[in-house]
Amino acid sequence: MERKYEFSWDLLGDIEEGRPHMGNTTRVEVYRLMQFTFRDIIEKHVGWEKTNEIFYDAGQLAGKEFYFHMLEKTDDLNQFINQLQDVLKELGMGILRIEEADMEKGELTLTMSEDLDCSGLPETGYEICTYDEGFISALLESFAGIPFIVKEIDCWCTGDRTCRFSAKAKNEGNQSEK
Amino acid sequence: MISDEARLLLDYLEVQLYDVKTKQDIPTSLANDVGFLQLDKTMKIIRAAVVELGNGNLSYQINGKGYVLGSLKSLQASLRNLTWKTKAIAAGDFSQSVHCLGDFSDSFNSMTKKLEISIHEIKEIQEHFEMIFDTIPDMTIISNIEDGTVSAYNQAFLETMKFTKEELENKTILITDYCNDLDEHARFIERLMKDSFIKNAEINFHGKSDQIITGLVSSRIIKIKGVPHTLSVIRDITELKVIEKKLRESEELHRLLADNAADVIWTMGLDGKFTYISPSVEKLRGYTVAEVLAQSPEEVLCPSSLIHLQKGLENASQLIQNNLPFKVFRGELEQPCKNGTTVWTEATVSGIYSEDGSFIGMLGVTRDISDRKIMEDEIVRLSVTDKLTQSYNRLKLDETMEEQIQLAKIATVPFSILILDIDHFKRVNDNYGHQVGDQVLVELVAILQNHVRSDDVVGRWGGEEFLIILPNTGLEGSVGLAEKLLSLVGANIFTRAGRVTISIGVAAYQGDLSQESIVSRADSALYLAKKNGRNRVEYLK
Ligand SMILES: [Zn+2]
Repeated sequence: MERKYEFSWDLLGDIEEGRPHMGNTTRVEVYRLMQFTFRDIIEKHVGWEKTNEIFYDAGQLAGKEFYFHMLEKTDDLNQFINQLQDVLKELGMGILRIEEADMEKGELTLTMSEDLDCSGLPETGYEICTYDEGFISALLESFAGIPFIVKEIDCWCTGDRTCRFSAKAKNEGNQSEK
Repeated sequence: MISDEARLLLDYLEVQLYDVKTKQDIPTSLANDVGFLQLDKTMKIIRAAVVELGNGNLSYQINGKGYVLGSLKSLQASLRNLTWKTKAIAAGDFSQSVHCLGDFSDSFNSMTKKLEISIHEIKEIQEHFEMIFDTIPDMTIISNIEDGTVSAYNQAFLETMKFTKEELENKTILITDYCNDLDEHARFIERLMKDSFIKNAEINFHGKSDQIITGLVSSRIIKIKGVPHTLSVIRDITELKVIEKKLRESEELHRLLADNAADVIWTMGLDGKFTYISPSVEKLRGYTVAEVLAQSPEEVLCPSSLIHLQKGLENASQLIQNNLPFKVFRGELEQPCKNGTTVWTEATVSGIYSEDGSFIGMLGVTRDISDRKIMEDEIVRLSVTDKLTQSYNRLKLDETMEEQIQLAKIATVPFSILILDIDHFKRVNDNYGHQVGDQVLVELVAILQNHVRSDDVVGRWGGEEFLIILPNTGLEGSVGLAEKLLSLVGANIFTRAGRVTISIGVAAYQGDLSQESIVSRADSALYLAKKNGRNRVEYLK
């Protein structure tokens, strides 16, 4: 398949050069506008489930690139989480918090408050942060070296005040999840 | 007014909200209402979740949706996150901080900061302590009082006990295994328990090898996790002990040598007072050590020798004052003895200096040289004595005459000399043999010596010729003495030779410049006596 826009970090461009007056920030509405219009059109084209899959995969791609470009490599979970928290907060993506982390079992529960994607969204009854799920799974995989399946268990869109994600290391057995 | 149905609903809701027990059935009219059942379910979840959260159960799984449940979940998430952070902090990650719990966040964060600082300080103190502990040059150990296990030791301990770090790693070290005397150890612990510290107790123990180590132990009781331990600093004084012993032995040896030496060994200050004197002094001078130590220099030395000492002390003081080295003195001294006699000694005196080079005093060795003195006198005597007659020889006569000529220049009464010769001595030799002749010479000298004055000098001038020097004697006096000697000899019966006579020539000093001139006058007088018939005295008029 011919690729025209295979992702690379370079595609983000030279923002300093390109936006000398506007700078590198924008409004959350603009971000959400793009995300939900994408969702709308893609859903029309491929259906709800496939759309979620696309967003999950895109999130994963983003997470992977993000890890390599924004974080410093470390083997220490706390250091990794601290870095991630700082970067996510600095970039205005949300407040990441760990509720539980058992790396030996490969199980984590984390929450993202004031999430860029869904905080303040009207209640729809569906968890909507599939992009975040993919994003987080790629970060964890990059950190731990093993794939993770991340599922949003609470979401603003389902009436919760914070998005809560459950992450589990992907064993050979439960590969069908995705 | 509200309807009965509404009343039942209110009662139901009140129980759900206010009561501990909720055993109340849903009002029958609502029992099948899907909407109410959903609401009821959510309400019960909220109730259960609040109760669980209230009880502190953070792992209670809140199922359900909606604003209130969402807020509860959010609170639960915050608390769970707090738990996680606290665990991380407890594990030493002080970078954790809380931001979403209002005032609590600030308190929590400042507590974390304080904890971090405190732990950092404690760590620093601990590192500091460990560093000090390990670099203390003395052995330092911490051991459990109850069972004697050593819980900490330093490098000095390893070095002294001759262990390597690897040997002791993961091993239980029992202090009692290294004690030489378990009773001593028990007493030590008992005393320590009573006084809670012990300073510089001398204890013997051994390291890996059985070689005994002597340590100066200072201990204190400390509590580690409530259990009493001893913190002990042990100075290894094994070598010191050996040196001390050697020193003591060497001091004893020196003292022993000094005490038993035939020579007298002494030390003296520049004030001329003895600071030590060996007991051999009693054998030398008859005085005890105590008596000698109390003696003044005047009592220690005869006047002629005292001058040497006084001069020596003066010189020494001057040298010391000018930072010049003490000059070793060696000299012969005459010392008074307790019995009134004197003894000749030879003293060798050198300076004693301390380690830093300052002068402390003098060290002397005094040796009895009486025998040598006698020998020397004997040699001197022999050198001026005629072997056969034991009278003076020609050498002594020459010396004495030279002296007398010198003295005569200032004397009121100068000296005279007699030269006497045995008459017909050849006949004695011929008739009786040389041995009888020699015997005559010996007996003649005896007569002469027995009848001259003590200052007079009788000597053999050669062959059968004798010369007598008479100090302070004019011609008249000397002729008188000569006549006396002549008759004494003439009256004597010599062994085997019988009667023997002599002739005497007398000469008195007459401003002679040399002994030859006076001797020549006496010779001439003797010749005259022989010519005039022998057995007579003659002098030149
Ligand atoms: Zn969400």
